[in-house]
Amino acid sequence: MGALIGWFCHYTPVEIITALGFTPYRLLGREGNTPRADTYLVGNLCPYVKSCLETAIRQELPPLAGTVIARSCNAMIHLASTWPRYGGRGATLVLDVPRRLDEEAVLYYSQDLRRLAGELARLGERQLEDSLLWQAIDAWEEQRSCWRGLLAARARGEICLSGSDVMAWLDGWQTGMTAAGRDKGQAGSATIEQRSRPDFRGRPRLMLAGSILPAELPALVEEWGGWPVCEDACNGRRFLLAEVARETGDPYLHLARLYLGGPPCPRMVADQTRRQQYWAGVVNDYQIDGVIYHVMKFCDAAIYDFRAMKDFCDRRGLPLLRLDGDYTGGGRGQWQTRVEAFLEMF
Amino acid sequence: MTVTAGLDLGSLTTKAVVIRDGAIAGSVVMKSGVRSEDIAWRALKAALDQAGIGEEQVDGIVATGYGRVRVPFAHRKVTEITCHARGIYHLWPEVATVIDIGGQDSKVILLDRGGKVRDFVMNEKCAAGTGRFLEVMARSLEVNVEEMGELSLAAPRGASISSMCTVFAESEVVSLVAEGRPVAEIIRGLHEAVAQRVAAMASRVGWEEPVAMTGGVAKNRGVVKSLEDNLGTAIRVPPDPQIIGALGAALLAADSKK
Repeated sequence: MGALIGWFCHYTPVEIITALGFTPYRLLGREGNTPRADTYLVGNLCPYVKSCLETAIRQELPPLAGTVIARSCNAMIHLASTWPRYGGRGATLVLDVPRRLDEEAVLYYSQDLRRLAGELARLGERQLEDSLLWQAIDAWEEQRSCWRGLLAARARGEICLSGSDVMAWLDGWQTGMTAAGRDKGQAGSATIEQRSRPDFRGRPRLMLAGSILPAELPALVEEWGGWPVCEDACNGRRFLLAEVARETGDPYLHLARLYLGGPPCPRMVADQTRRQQYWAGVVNDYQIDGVIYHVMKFCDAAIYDFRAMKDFCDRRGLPLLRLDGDYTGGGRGQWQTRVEAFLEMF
Repeated sequence: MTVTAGLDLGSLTTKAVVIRDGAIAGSVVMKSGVRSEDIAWRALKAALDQAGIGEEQVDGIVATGYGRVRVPFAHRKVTEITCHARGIYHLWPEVATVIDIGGQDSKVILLDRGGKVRDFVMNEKCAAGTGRFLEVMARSLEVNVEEMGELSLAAPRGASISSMCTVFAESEVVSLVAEGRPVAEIIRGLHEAVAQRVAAMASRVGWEEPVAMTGGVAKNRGVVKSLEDNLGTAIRVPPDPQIIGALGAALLAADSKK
């Protein structure tokens, strides 16, 4: 396993990191409050970002050769400013992600990815050749395809997986530190075969949505009687992107199209139509009975996105519950009554 | 004869209702303590004694409220949202919106024509607009919380309370007292602040008429009046609004026996 390169936002192409011989390591923060990060970041800023900075300040991260920060939202822009001084050891590399999907955006992003690849290459001992990058693209696509198949089988009811397990495996895979994450194409399926499968049939089938989902939320929803069958979050289904036609020639153009063309994040403010179409697809494919939307405190993108989701659910006649959270792991008491009351509505 | 009981373990008070063949046979309200199980049992016993019914005759018990998970002898646990909806539907089937302001949270619940919960909204991690908020203010003003309603109705105008944070609002109240503003005006201002907050919640969920109010704060006529002014509609308040959650719980227990 190569040296670790930290990353945050799911618009970060991990293929470039892998192709250079590094191991991509996703930073997902920690449980608890963030007193040290609060020293450097304003109070009304994304708790996930603060949580990640807190782990770095407390030196709870494994050694990182560098960190890629996609300046994909306001909070990430602030993180990119503070991380080099207070956060990570190793280099800090930034990436600017467009907020829309069109040819200009794809071209711009591909050029920024090429720049990022050059900067990352200078951290290691390997020059990045297109052939190596294509290999990494294929390897990641193979794993993502395996995950997509697994989740599609769950949606069809062929296998019964708990949302909490899915989130845990995805977390492991994204941090690249587990066997499931390293073994090409396995995508946790070996683990799945060995586990007892929970039987949630008959429960309301739920989509959990938001910007980034707290790791404990799917498990709590299951404990209280729901069945999360789709986690629309950047640490869930969205990270699996969507298959795109293989470009010939420029791998950076392919990556730009792959990432910008995946399930859109709430930050893609100029791409709302596609986000609505994506929801419609999820609701149909996963036979969703209701939606629980987790709004991260101070995440403007998620708050606006929630309004769009409410309009969407009203049109479809889908029950929708809004949960507010601050990513500290302390939401249980506040969420329980809301989730149980929501499930009693079915 | 079917006898069922509902227990509503709130943050400040525990309520028990016993119903016999669909009618209330006994009801009690007690202060909640740290030992939910003991309080629940004592409240149930008191309500049964009041009704002249032995515990062996009880066919079903439903627990609700924050302490519902701490009642091992309950046959079912149901959230207070569903219970308040069921209780009001029993009293007034035509009601479309229930506003419940309890000790530590406030809720606005929309009902469909069959009395089922269609949507709901609750306050966030903040005591503003709750019974606890009014308790804290009553303490600052050295009045009993039960007196607040009548005092505020006697005030010609309300003092302006800018902050809805309980801590900052308390500081504001202290400043107003220091300025010599009449206590009744300050209380009216507090009621208006609570009403504005709850009305905003009601708008968020898309409230509809007719509206009913439940929970301990519904006994405060000042808050009800301010809420009516804010929403521009009359609000129905049951004779004992505090026990509606427990009544709903008892009715749900009876429903499951049918």
